[in-house]
Amino acid sequence: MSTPLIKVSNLSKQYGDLLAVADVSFELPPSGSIGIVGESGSGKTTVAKILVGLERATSGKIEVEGQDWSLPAKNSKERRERAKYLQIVFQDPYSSLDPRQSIGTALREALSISMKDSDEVIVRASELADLVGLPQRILELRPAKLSGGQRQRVAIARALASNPKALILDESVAALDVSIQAQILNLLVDIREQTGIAYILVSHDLAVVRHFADSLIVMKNGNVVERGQTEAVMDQPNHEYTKLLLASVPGPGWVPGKRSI
Amino acid sequence: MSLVEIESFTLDVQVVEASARVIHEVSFKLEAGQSIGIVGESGSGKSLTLRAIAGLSPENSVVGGKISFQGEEVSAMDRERLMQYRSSQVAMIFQDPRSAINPVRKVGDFLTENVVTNLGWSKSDAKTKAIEVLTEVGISNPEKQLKAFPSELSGGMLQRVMIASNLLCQPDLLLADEPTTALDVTTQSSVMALIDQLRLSRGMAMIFVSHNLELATAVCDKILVMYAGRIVELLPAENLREKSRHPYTRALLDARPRLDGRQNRLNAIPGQPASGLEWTQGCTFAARCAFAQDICRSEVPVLRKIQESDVACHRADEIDWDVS
Repeated sequence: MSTPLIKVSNLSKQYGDLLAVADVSFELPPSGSIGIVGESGSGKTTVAKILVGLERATSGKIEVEGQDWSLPAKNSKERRERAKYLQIVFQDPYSSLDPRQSIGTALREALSISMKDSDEVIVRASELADLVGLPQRILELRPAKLSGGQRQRVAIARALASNPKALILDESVAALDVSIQAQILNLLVDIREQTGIAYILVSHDLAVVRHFADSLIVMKNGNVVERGQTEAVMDQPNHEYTKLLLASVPGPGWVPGKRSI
Repeated sequence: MSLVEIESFTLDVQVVEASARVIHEVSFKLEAGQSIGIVGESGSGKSLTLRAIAGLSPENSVVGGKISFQGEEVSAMDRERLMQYRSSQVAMIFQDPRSAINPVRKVGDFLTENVVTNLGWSKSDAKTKAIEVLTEVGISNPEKQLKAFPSELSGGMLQRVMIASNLLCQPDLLLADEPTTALDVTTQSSVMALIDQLRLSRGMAMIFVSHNLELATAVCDKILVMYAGRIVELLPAENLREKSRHPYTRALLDARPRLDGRQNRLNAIPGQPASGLEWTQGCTFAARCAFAQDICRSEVPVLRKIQESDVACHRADEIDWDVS
């Protein structure tokens, strides 16, 4: 197996008495995709936040292409350096963009961190808009003029500005309408084909994870309860909790029921 | 007489200084004890339709057509009658229990407020009954929970409290607006089972608004699909997957990733979901529809009966969906 792009070993996060993340380990190969599945309180978002440096792990190790990322970046130079490896797209496209900033400005601002030439920045901003399927005229507009799906495309374009090797998608399609969700998922697949980017998909939606992730870990109360190739885990889950999650998704012949393990 | 009868319901809202129509000629009937699921994307008008039945249309909006409950027109109810209607005949469950329940009052106060203030129950009767319904919705140690504040309960527990509050007054109709969307999938399953079981045991009718077609199909008798403020298809729930005929219904079903296998690409619907505000000469879905022809762009399709479905599509009987 090739060297992993991201290697997380025995990651833990303690908040007071609560162990939010308990001894979590996983690897993300270059251009790979891993799903982190779980319900509220499972610790899945905390893992994502630790990876991008928004939270500090209590213990454990994070390596990105061999560099030690276990602690959040010390200074802005190091933050900028890390931005070239890993970016995140959040769930809510309404609150993750500055309402007073035009889309073009938002993209150019993100680009100018790594690019000095202003003409190049302008060209690249319009290339990014193309990549995520946004018409060029949108660059002039502010977020309020955009639909939820368009805003999420902007958030993705902005995350791609530093040309990262991996993108964390933290419930990034959960708030979107079904028809738009499918467009964005297809878009992310296309971007992977074009750029070779790797994804970490944090989601409670098992169908989205099945569609999107090569492998997955299932988290419950901070612990990884099951891991494996997505197909194998979904077709033949071993842990009772994974079975419970799968059985809870409405589908043909489904009846609601009090399910527990 | 049907429990709820909606005839040519329209809703006009004020947009800047002009009035604009967001719901166009919606008509359907709900019989006592029956359940209908209204499904659609944002802007389809599903929640506005639901709320209008409770007489909760937005300020500055104008309701047209007729909405009646047990033969009585909702728009003709005066303030006092509306209060009585909402406190004893219809019950509503909202998406987010945390924003629908007063955070500074205790759970017990929230539960008993309606029956004590509006229906004149004594406080001790209300409390006894509240403990009963909390037990019925599966909350253990109900006496202790009556003294808890909403912030001390999880989302799933709080939604159970909301359901319990609706059961106190034995309503005939339950209006549920995305009641489980904010909940975890395992909690959704048990909360939905609870709603289903209570509804059936009490003979309550239900209108269930959801963006989740699979969930609506599992708990409803009929499915009503809305797009841009119009009904595009109304059909028995068991027919949705195999026998639906509107291209939008089919496209919605097709766009979701599957849990039982992996596709390379999803069948996304191009474009944005339209709202009822968007005016077109023909079918509002035509711009996104793979089957659209000239007639679709020039004439608004009306609902017509094809076998067990009511479909608003010019081409519904021509398209070969492999309808079995």
